[in-house]
Amino acid sequence: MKTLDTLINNLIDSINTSHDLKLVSATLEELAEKKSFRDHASAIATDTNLTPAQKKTQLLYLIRSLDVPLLYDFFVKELSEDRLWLFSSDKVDYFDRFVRAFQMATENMKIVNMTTSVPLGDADLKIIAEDLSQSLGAKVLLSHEVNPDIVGGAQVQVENLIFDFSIATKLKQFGQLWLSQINQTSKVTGRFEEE
Amino acid sequence: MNQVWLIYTVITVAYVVILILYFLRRSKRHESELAGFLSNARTELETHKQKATLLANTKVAKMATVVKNIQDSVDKFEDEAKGEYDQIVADAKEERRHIIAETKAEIETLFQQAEKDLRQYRITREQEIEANLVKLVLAVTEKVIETSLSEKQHKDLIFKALEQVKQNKQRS
Repeated sequence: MKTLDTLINNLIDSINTSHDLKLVSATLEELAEKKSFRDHASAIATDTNLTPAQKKTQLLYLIRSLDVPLLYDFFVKELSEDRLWLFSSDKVDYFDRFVRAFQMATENMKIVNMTTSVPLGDADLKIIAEDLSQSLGAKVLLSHEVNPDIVGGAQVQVENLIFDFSIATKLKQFGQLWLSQINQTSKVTGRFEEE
Repeated sequence: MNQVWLIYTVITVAYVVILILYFLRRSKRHESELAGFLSNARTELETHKQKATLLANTKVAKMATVVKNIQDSVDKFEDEAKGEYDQIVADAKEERRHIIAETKAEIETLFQQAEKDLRQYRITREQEIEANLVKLVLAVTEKVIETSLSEKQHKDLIFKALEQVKQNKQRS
């Protein structure tokens, strides 16, 4: 049996943005507090009259209304690998433990705010999040915003540090340097005065 | 009878002659008295005339003195007035010279300040024009970059930026 931590890591690995984390976290919290869902899911998971395939089908039917594709896909994957115990609350409420352990695990995540001039696809965000996670030594969640005003590059905020590598800022710095050079030249050579 | 007439006649003629002589003599004495009177009158007249002349001369002299005094006073007043007038004119000239000098100095200062302000204004405007020119160039550059960057170039820039973030984070 795959341990609870592995399941949590699987779910966390599939989350790359803070927006997704909020949705998943809120939905799991809602499901954990919804007694009818837990009882119903547990009844299906522990029903000895049902075959595993029937249990999967019924549980999939039960979670069909989840409007968080990421979470739905996670459950579908886990069910396809016969991890029905996740919904069991007969002796141990695994689902509740899973939700609590997930909430605790999210507290160690680092939120990185990133602004780009163009939208990025989920695949790109996943690559970036994994890359930063590896580099920063902690699971990174991206809070991604699109701002065409920065022209290109990216603005990144990690904790209290802000890294601005946008084209707009570089052009601004270049403009300031240009103006300071003009002023410096004017001081040295003087300004042209028409007689 | 004839003799008596004759005697009477001779006596009458003699009486008439005596009367004529008497009157002649008396006339002469009167003439002499009149001449003396006239002479006295002339003398007195002359004396009076001399006295009157002397008095008149004295009065004229007094009047002349008074007139001279008045004339002197007038002259003195005129001199004083002229002196005051000259002093006033001199003061006015000095004041005018002073005012003109002050005004010239003020005008000079104002001109210098105006030239300085104008120079500063021109430098400020030139700096604004330079800043606007730089802004314009940068705005055009931004637009050119924005429109010329492909999706792949955008992604490359983003990943390059992330590489710099990682390097900076490791250094910090």
